[in-house]
Amino acid sequence: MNEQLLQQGFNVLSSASIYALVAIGLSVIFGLSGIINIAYGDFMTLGAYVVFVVAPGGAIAFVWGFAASAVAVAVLSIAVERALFRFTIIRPVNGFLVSLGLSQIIENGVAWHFGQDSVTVAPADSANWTLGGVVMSADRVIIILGTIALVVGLILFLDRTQTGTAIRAIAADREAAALMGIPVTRLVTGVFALGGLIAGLGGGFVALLQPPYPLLGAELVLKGFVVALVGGLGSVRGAVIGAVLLAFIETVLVTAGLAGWLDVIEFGAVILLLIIRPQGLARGLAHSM
Amino acid sequence: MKAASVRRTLTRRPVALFAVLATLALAACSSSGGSSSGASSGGASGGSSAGAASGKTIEIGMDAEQGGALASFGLSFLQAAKAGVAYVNKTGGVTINGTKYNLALDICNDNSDQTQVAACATKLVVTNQDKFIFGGLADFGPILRGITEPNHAIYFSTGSAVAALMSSSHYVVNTVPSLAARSLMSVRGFKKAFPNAKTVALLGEQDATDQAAFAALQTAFKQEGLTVVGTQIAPLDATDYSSFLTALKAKHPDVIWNELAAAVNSEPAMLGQNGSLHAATVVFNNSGSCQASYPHTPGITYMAETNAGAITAGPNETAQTKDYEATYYGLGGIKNPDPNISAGLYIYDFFPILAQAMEKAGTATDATKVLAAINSLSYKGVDGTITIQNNQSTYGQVLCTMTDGNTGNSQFEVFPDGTTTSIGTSS
Amino acid sequence: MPTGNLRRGNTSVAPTARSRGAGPAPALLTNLDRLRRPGLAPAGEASWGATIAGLVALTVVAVVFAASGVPAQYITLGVTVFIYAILASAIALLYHDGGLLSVAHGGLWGVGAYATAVLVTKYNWPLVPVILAAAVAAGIVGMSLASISTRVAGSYFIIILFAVSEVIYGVMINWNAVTNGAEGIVLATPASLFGYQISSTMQWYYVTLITLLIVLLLLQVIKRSRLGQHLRAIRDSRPLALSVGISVARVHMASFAITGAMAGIAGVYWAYLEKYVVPSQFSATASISFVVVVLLGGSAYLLGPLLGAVVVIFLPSLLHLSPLLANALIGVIFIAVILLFPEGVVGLVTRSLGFLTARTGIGRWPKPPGKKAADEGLREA
Repeated sequence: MNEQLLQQGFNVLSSASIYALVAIGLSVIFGLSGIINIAYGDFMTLGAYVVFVVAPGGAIAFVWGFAASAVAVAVLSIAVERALFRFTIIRPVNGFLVSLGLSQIIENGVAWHFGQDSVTVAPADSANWTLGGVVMSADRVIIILGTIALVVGLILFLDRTQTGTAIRAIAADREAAALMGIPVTRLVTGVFALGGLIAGLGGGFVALLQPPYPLLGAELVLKGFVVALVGGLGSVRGAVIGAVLLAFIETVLVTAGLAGWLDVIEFGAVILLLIIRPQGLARGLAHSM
Repeated sequence: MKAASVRRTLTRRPVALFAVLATLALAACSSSGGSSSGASSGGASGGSSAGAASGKTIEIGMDAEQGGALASFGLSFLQAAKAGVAYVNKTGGVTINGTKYNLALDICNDNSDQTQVAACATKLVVTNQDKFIFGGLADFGPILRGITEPNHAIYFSTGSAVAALMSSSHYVVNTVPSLAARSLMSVRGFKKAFPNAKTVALLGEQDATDQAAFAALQTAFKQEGLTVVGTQIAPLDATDYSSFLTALKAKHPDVIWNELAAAVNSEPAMLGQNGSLHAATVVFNNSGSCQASYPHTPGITYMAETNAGAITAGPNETAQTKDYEATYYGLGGIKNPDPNISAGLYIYDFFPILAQAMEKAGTATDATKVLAAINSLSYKGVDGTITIQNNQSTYGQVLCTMTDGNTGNSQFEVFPDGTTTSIGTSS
Repeated sequence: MPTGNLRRGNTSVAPTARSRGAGPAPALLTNLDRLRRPGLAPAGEASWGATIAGLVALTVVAVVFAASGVPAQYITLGVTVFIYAILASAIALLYHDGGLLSVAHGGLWGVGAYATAVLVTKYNWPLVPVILAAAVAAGIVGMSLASISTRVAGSYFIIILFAVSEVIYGVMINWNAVTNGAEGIVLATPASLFGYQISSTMQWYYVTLITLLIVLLLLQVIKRSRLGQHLRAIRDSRPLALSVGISVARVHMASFAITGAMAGIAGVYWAYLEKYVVPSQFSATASISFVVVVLLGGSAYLLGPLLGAVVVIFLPSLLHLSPLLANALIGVIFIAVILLFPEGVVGLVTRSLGFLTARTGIGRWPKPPGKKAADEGLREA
């Protein structure tokens, strides 16, 4: 029984990593622009497909795959921000609506080009390590370590560097930041690029876990938003905590045989939480990123 | 907060607008008449729409998912239907009262869209007066049935959602053996392949097929002396099955019985994750197939019920099956190899069955007579010997095993009467 | 359902200062509205004449369409359009007048459909009680959404409503005892309306058309009523509305209840059209298609949602593109609408036609506010 618990603990970590990446990307973009980007999940899908195109054979080539997907999706994010989202900053609801259309375009475009079935990506490392009765596949270890590195790097960037501080200032008060000489427009584009980078990497990680298919990201994005909300929109730390919490709750429910009720319970709990405490668990971009 | 914007009052102008648009719509409707079926891939498609048995063709309605979420199966299904029609026409067509008819497929594309399915059904059954309908995957079957039943059109269904309605349907032919029969055959075949297995854990999805299948499987297991030690039902949007597999592993099953294959993308994911977790070293899949393209893991033996009753690989592959494949790919418009080619095996044989029934009944328009003829036939097709009773078809089931990604290891056919035949191995 | 309290005074076509009750507060709101949109009737209200004309035109076109001998599948699509239009018009009211973008109304639609399926297959209820029950059930569920809208606004609200639609879907697929889970419920019997059986699609065409006309009329009445005024006031400035004593909770509850009930009624017809209800029909994806329908057509206009429904439902049958490309194209058009023509297709056409008539001097010109306008309140002289 103990073995099962430890194994489930490891499963929680790897699920939480993916959720955290989605949530962080969504959270950071929202914190800065107020836009709910429902196409973010589709960016992850694109990241997964880039890995499929660049490194379908897996193994060490996966490093190139990650790099390519991070860059590609970051570039796409910049383009989309400049061409579309920029015009919706004054009215973020429009940004959400634009992302709905964007999501439809990406999903159907990917399905049209690659087919609607899943495509196969070989694992980066098919080794399995067993530690204390817990089976850890090398790919999942890569995902967990990679996510931790990314999160730590992001928090350090936002807390310690000048650019990071500038970004937090924009999130706190855009006009004041502009008045202080912070290049708001450039940094907002930069944050979108950062979100795209995270999405590309996240998509690459997901490709390690399961065969990419057109609707891959669409299923993740709602959970990502929920995690981001619970953690406090705009807070990286909150997103991580929320992700771990969600993965934990899901695993407990599965072990208890209530897997069917997963969605009802987790979304219901989130609704209740947000009715009681609308700002979520953490306190938002400006305060504690 | 909404920015204040200048708003216009609604005046009589939109009245004119509406009239213009309506006229355009009407013009488009009448010009495309009854043949607007969206994009249809090549091959035999809807010819004249003037009713069921006009001229020298008999129209068979096909509600195809040529786009949308179900397109990957839908297109394969459609291709198999086209192959079935081609086969009938190639082997002499249908002769009724001395007149020879060819079959033609009347295709309507529902785009996997729920708003289009009822419209397609109406078009095929009511407008085009097709007496025989194929197609309608998954949740669309009952919608089709809702229109074929009152209009006395025979619906050749493959889905479990409609199978559950057989007792209240008069004009539905289930082209798939009943769930109870299939479950029993699968379990028996499985026992034959793995005589030492005693315990099973079930893993499925929250869809109609699995919901019905789990109940039938539990009965079959009990009947055959196997113990079900655990079940897990994953939500449809699950992508990570490791928590499910770990939970099942804790019950120490000999076999994981996998019902997930409903979504092509979830089965390889589950297999891969089971590969690392070794929840069980044997995975039996009740609706998949042994495919070399699936990711497989050393040490995992994978066994599947596959290809309905058809032997499609190895030295025992029948000439009929080879002919099916040749026709299927020969029609063009589908990728080669098609991983879903076996999906069409559930309907391919029913075109010649329908042709023979029409000949025997002497009519292509009287559904009751044709149904009676269908129920009296025995047909040896790609799926083996098929008999139909009370509109429910019965035929054997072929199972294959795959170890370390090596397909064609051993195949069995399990027959409805409980006997099994080893079809043999091939390297 | 609106209570008597919310409808002080009569809601006749030309409310006078007297009928709207004495007191400075309503007048204050009116003046503020005037400041924001000088010279035009605020809040995009149509005149009753235009509304009646629009409804008459709709009826005429719909009847002509049905009688013109189009193939049967177009009648089926027509029923689908009316069902979508009922639902989309309700969503449009919430969005346009309330500033609330609801992505949960697809779930409320499903509540109505499931209520129908269960009541018909288990208890054989006739049509009118089923409609009432579905409206009540969906209205109650809808009303509970107000508890969310009163606490969070804007983007948070949208995300939470996504979660709500997932919860509704989850209940549908898990509550096997009532909903039969993933296998769904099949409706085999025709509807009975005062002993008369409704079974043909053409009959449903007229039933749904009449319901749509009633719903559109009702929505226009609500827009002009006190409830509508308060809803817009909350939309424009929640603190200001609160400060003049408007109860956000009550107004939102009423709005959600009414629009929820309309969604439920649309669900009744859907259940009878498809003769099969299954959870996958009512997921968040369905809700999103309704949002697309509303915005494509134009949420400010009487017939905007209907037009959006016509486009979304008829276009796949008429386009000859690969379906995937067709869907991607709709996405492109949708983005163009959001960024370039936010008032939707109807708005775009109206503006361009207005441009034409403005040049030729035909058509109505907005009048500047004067004493009479101030007295008459929200209505243009």
